Amino acid sequence: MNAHKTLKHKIHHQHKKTLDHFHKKHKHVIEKAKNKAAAIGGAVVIAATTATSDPHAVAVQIHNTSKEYLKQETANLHNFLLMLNSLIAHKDKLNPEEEQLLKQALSKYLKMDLKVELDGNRMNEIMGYIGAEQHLLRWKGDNLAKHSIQKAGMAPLQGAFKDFENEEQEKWYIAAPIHELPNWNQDWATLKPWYRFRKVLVYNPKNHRAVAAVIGDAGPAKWTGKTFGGSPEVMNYLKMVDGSQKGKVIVLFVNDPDNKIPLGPVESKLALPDPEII
Amino acid sequence: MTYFFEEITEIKEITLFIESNCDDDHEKCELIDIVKETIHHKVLDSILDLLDQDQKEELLLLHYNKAENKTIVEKAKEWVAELEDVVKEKVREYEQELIASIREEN
Repeated sequence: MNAHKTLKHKIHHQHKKTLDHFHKKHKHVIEKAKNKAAAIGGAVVIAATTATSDPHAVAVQIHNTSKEYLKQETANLHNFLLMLNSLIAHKDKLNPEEEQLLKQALSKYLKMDLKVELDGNRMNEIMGYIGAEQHLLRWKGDNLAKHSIQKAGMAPLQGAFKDFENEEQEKWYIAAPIHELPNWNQDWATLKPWYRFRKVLVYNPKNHRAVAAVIGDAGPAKWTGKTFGGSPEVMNYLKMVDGSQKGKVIVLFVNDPDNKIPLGPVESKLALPDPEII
Repeated sequence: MTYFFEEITEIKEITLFIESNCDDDHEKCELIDIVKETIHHKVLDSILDLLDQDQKEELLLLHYNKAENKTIVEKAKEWVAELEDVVKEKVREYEQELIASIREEN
């Protein structure tokens, strides 16, 4: 057997052996933990508790009330959204039920038809860190002097979708990792036009600011540790800071077939206080 | 996907070994992912052996609830003071074991 074949065989063999051993040995505790996790998932969004004296001591709590919040008294919706930032602080991923809870809460809060999945398409993640992007060349002859927030600079190349259709799209664009979609390699010819300038809602749970934006580029690279990128205007409005103070956002599709929702800031009549302003 | 052991150490040897024995980039990534998952289970197994029942359950619960890796590490450190050493040792041990077994067969 050559080295390559042996390598593959050994890696797969040891993987199977290790996982079988692990699941057999820890069967009972795995089952107990899984059942508890399922119960939690069924009831709620999970929180890392801040109630202990040690801020890093994370205990998973069941917020039995969260589904009730979404059945909707305005006050309850407020409470849910006010809790959201701490609820997601220690989470890398949302499970499908949590995604739906968030979609419902934000749709109600912003009076928009928001979707996790639209026309059979969904992003790998709807929650993640967002990093600051530069301006993009909108079309031939464009330059930085023609943009606002010039200190952000301009990328030397156009975005993945080439020419923007209008100024607003570049002003309010995000980069989303569509190139990481599991079916991208085989379906890119149909996926690319679908995602091109697709309208999304970007929500900052820290200050409850939201913008309607378009997917204007593919990215950012996985190694950056960020899931999304935001145009200078998006980052500015959401008051997102890049680098060590980067924050998480929620990104959902906006179902707006008649293109009635303008790009830019979205305000709720149920407006929640911005903690930085109080 | 990243695993909590990657907060403590990197897998260098086996990554280099895979890179030098596999030409296909896609396959390379796939094999490294499988190795990482194997190591994750070996490391988790070693840590669970050092915990009592309640701690085991709590650690797995964090895992199933997809808590951030650094959170898992911080929690595990509360119970296992020498956590970093345990993880590093287990990772090196597996890397060497795997490489040796492949070399042996060739």
